[in-house]
Amino acid sequence: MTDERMRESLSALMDQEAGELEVRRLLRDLDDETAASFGRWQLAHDVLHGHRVSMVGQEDFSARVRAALGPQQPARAGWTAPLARVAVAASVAAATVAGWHAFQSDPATATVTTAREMVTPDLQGAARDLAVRELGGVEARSAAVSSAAAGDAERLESLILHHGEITARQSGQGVMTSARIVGGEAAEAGH
Amino acid sequence: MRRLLSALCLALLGGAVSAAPAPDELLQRMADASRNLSFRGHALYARGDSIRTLEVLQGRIDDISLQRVTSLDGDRVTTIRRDGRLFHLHPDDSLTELGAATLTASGALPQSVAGQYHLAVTGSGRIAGRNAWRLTLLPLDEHRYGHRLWIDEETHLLLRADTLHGSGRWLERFEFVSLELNPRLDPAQFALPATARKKSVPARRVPTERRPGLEPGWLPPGFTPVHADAAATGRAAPSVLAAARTWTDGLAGFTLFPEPAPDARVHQDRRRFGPTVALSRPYAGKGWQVTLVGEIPLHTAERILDNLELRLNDD
Repeated sequence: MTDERMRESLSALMDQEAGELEVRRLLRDLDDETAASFGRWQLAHDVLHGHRVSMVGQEDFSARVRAALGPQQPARAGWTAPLARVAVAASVAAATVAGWHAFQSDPATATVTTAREMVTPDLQGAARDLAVRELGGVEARSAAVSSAAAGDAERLESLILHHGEITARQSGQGVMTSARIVGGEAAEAGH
Repeated sequence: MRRLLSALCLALLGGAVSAAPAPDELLQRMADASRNLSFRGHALYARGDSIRTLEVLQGRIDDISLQRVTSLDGDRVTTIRRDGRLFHLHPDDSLTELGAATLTASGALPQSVAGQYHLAVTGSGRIAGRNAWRLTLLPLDEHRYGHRLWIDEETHLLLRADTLHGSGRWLERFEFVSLELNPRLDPAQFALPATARKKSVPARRVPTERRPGLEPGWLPPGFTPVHADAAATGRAAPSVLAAARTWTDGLAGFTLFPEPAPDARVHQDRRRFGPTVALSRPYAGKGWQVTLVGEIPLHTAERILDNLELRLNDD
């Protein structure tokens, strides 16, 4: 990825406009210098947009990326080492990006969420894939992970349903709360 | 601050709509109508970039309150409320059943709402071919969303509800497109399909004696615990639901679900669906996690979890 392209992508990521492919590319090509740039731009972006800036300064961001990468060590398992570095750096970047989103003084917006939902699962997936590869037995562990993920979705759905049922009795909005349950599940299923 | 200013502006403009009922009275009538009216209609439910069309049916037969909401496009999802019990039919024909407690009358609704929102009748409009008052509820702090409610002038049924983000954009919208009052109802319309098979709630079980106490160190102003009667829905359900507790400010609510998390892989999900957030937090070293689900801003949800203490019986 060229520097200019990278800059555009980072800018899009900060403005929560980066597409999934773009985020993947960005994380693939993320290096220390770029991470530091991102920290600087994010600071500028925060100031420009009137966000609180105590969360991520440039020093903080690059320090966290460096800490996550750790000192350069001999590769333990050959080809997995570079991948490990990228995945770890990527997950730090994601945590920082997500943290910044959450830190906005406005209540989180729909666009913020879209960006978060887009970024985080990908990174968790990348880190998980890495762990799986390092430990060997890719297929067996992947299968276990995906069935656990399906269980999580069902568990979350049941909690949301239970919450909706209790609040339906309280809010005085009657059929609207049922519509939220039905319309909500239909909306998720349609994606 | 901006919100407080806009509340002030609204207060100065308030009363511009003449002959409108007092906002708190309108809210109470809406709550009464939502329980007592009999109707059939079609409605839209929108959030994010998705819009769903719904068929809505409500009434009483032999003094039993009945309600059914079914999605008309995409996957078929239905909820049936029958005498205080909720049956939720998923697209795969599986069934979740919740609720055994009787419907709690929300008599204190306008009082609790008035302390946390600025209420004003800000106009009128037509929804589903009917004249409606527009009631605007602006939050007095940043810990809840605003609401715009269109309430039928004649019956006081809620015809349209927008949940508003601070920027004025809506997060969620419900709106009737057609409405028929006092339709002929048939018990068969509220029957469960013979093919439905019951689904067990895939939550982890919590032995009663190990049920943890939830001690919030901080709560957003005006949120009070939902009375145990309403929370008794969980009594017959898996005990993880019985361990849950709900708080409400009269309009918005959130529920905390403590769950054992014996494995190292703790769910750190943060999900948002329209105005609903769902996020989990591990309690390191205690082998537990707590999931918050509610219609509150994410920063408020995180602050609640940041300040929450879990009291375990074996502590």
